[in-house]
Amino acid sequence: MGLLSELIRWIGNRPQRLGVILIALIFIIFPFLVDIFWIRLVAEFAILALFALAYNLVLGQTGLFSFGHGGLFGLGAYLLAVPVIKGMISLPFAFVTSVLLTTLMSYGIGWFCLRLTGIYFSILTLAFSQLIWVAIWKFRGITGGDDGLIGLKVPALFASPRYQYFFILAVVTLSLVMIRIINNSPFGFTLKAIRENSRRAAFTGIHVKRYQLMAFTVSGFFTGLAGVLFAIFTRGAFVEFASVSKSFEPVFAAIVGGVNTFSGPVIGAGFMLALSHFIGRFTEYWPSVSGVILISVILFLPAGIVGTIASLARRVGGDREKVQGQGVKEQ
Amino acid sequence: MSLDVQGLTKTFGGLVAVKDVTFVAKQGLVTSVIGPNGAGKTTLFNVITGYLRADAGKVVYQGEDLTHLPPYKIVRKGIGRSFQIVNIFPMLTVFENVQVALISRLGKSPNFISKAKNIGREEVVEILSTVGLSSQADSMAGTLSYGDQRIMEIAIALASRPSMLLLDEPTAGMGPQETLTTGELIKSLTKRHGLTILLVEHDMEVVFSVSDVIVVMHQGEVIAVGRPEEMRENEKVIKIYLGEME
Repeated sequence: MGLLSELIRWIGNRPQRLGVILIALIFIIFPFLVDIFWIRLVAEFAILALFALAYNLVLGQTGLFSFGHGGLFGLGAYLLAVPVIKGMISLPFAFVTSVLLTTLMSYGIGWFCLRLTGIYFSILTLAFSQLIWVAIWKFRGITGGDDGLIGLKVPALFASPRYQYFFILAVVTLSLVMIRIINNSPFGFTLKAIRENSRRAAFTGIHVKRYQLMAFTVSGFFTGLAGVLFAIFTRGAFVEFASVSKSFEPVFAAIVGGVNTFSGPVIGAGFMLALSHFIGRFTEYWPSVSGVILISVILFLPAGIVGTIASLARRVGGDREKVQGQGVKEQ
Repeated sequence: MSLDVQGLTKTFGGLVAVKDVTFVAKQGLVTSVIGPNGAGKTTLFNVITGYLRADAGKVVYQGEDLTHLPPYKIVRKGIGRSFQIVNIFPMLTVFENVQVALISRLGKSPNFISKAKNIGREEVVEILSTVGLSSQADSMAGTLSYGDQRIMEIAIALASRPSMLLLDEPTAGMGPQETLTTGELIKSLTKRHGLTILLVEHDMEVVFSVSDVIVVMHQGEVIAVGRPEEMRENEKVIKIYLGEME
């Protein structure tokens, strides 16, 4: 009984904890109630959500517009798929080395791209991701070129979509908690200051470029992790994983969901996946629908779905604090 | 123990914005740089604080050559500054604006595990009460009045716990009452907190009431240095200001 009252008090202190517990329960129970299609869809959503959250460390938190995260995502997937399919190393080992190597590459790419600022930074990230894409395309002997790599052998446990789902869910949840901690840490706070006013930040003694590079590298770590999970999920790797349209996915998810909120990219990722799956059934032109949605969000809900809801809730709650026409502060 | 500016020169293309400027800002005193528009005062500030590169000359602080250091290193040597144009973090609260600088000074910025929220709370509260912004601590900085934003700039600079503060027209755009308060704040920063202050200011009333030394610039050059009462009588200075009015 003591435990239960303790739990009630814990939730009572912060009512939103109840929401978190409910969501967690739903994610844990639902795979036992639905068929494989839905289990796989939600697993894919979790990976995409991680990708979007990782990306938003750079866009929302630090204010850097990277257009090259598809390259890092593809890198993570191929650095796992290639050595495992070629029988060079085992999957668990490749899991670790792929994430580490992708992180290292992110550092290198970030180092080059952050020589420049603004739109030039974005173009450079795009160029690097295209380099990765072309390399995958051209080195057929290693990567399988446009045929991709198939037949990734996974441990017997993952043969069950349910177990695989729980594994992915566990990794994504852990990452989510880590990103949350980073966001609220002095480091995350410093990144926010850089986003708000990088020149002023420099005059408070912050080495702006170094922090931007750290943010890019941490983002690369989680992006690589998402790529690795995706390779396991699809049992292989395909050149599209590193394509421009892959780079576009987290941009869409983050902006539609709300770049200045923590959960925005997650909601945006779910929204995007729902679009591609359900509108994709009726028409092959679903990307044009997502284009219209993106334009509408940017024009009419610049704070994104979650950002807008949060600011409405705040207004209803009596706290009228807001800054002219801008998005919403991290909640 | 003072700021030594020696032969500092900065050119933009053919324009010499700061020309062979030499003066000393002594510790614990308020040194004001005055002069008509375009005299090179802000450029001088930007060169001293590392935002612009000097073409010639030296900036020495407490015996250390700072001339070509980047801004973040100069801040760490104890020189803070405020800006002529409001330069804050508009979407952070007033409290957070000051806290960013404090966390940076404490060397805690790279910490990515603990919670930022309460770090340095006491000191931030203290700084906000020094400048008189305590009641606005939780307001979004972008929503403050213009005058309060300017004062918050000083608060941000103070959080770096500088031994010297460069203030670039702190009262520009302020009403008479705010200007008065800011003047008092500047005085108390030197008297009570022992700060060395270098001030660029247009409001002559403020300049003459707070300054220990006045440096007069004209077209990039220093034309006179001295105590306020000397400058009031200085013919060259009078000429420049009268010339401007014509």
